[in-house]
Amino acid sequence: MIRVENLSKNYGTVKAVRSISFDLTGGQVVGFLGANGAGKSTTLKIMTGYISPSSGNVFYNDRSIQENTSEIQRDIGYLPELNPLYSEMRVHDYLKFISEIRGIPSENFKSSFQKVVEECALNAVAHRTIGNCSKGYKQRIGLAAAMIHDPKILILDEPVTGLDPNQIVEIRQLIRKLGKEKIVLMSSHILQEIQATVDRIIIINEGSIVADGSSDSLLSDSNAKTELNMDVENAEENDIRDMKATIPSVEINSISKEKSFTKISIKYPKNNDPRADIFKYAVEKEWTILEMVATKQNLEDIFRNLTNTSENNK
Amino acid sequence: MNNSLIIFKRELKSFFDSPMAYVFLVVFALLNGWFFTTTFFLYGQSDLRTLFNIVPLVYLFFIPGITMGLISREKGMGTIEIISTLPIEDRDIVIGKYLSAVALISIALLSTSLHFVTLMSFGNSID
Repeated sequence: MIRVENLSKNYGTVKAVRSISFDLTGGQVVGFLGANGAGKSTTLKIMTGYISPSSGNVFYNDRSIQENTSEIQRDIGYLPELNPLYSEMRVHDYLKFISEIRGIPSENFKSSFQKVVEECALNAVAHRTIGNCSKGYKQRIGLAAAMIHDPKILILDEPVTGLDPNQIVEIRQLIRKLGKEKIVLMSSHILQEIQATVDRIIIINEGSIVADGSSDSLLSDSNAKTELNMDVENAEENDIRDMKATIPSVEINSISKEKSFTKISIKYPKNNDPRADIFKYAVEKEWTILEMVATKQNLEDIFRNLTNTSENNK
Repeated sequence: MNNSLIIFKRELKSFFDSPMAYVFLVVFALLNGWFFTTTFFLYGQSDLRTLFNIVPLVYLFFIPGITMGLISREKGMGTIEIISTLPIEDRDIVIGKYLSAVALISIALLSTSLHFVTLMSFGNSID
């Protein structure tokens, strides 16, 4: 189990991470989500022992990373964000080098090498120089190096950047498979990626955690709102504005006049559906409803809401 | 200790995987050879003294050339993040890299043994 406790990191006057805490347990894939510069990579770097925090600590089974760095690093597989590699080395030699430092006995290297080459689909480049490989291959070489010693904990900083859609699907499946028995923490700023891969999402914004939960629980949050888009004929703007007085749960987002009809965008809380009332109101005011579409809020909206709110609070 | 040996092997191999080591060895041999032979025939003596005088001076430029990149190149390429997050002590990294530089410099020094062999075979009344 990993426990992150009140972790903070300052770069000069810039507060990259502001006192964040969370727990991770085995058998789940956790997504670390945030805009660029939110503090994701800094947190991951502290968790791998690469940099030390300004305050706070990270515990692996109650052992602090700062005091037992090498010991804990044995159990971690880490793929850094920029995926640095020794470009002059051959793929096989590089993985051999990593596995030697990881303490894999040389008689076991062959089998673990074959395993990661297969899982990361590196067969075609296994004996090529890393510098001559494409970006997608390099990314998978980094991933192979992170998991060659079959670590208990995998920390992947943006693992799917540079991959084409087919490779993304493969890596996603691989991460899900690994997540069944290991702790996998992956970061991304791509929502769809996180949503498709992880069991739990931690959203970080400006160094603080703004949401933490499964994507379903984030979506079913009572604050989540449904957006209703309507095209109506014969609607006066005043009548539309007055709707709020009759039906208190609606919140009028925007009204725009098209040639022959008016476009109305309305928001309402998920647990208080006013569509029937809106219909009755329209009948009463003699509007003609051409279209009425409810779109459920997706993770993207939640993310935008959460990150915007904290900007407003500044 | 074992870990510094792994770093040593990787570093030495990476010297020879890039043109750097070859350029270094050739330039080192040529420079020493040139300085040695320009005055060698003036004396008519089979003496290695000039070589012993010149090698440290050439090293003065070559050793920093080799060693200054050992850590900074890792930082520049970002691979420092890889080796710092591997279960290996900083001490082992430094020792491994130091030994690899010593090895490369020793190989370079080996190239000057050519002058010794020449002297042995053609000189007479060697002390």
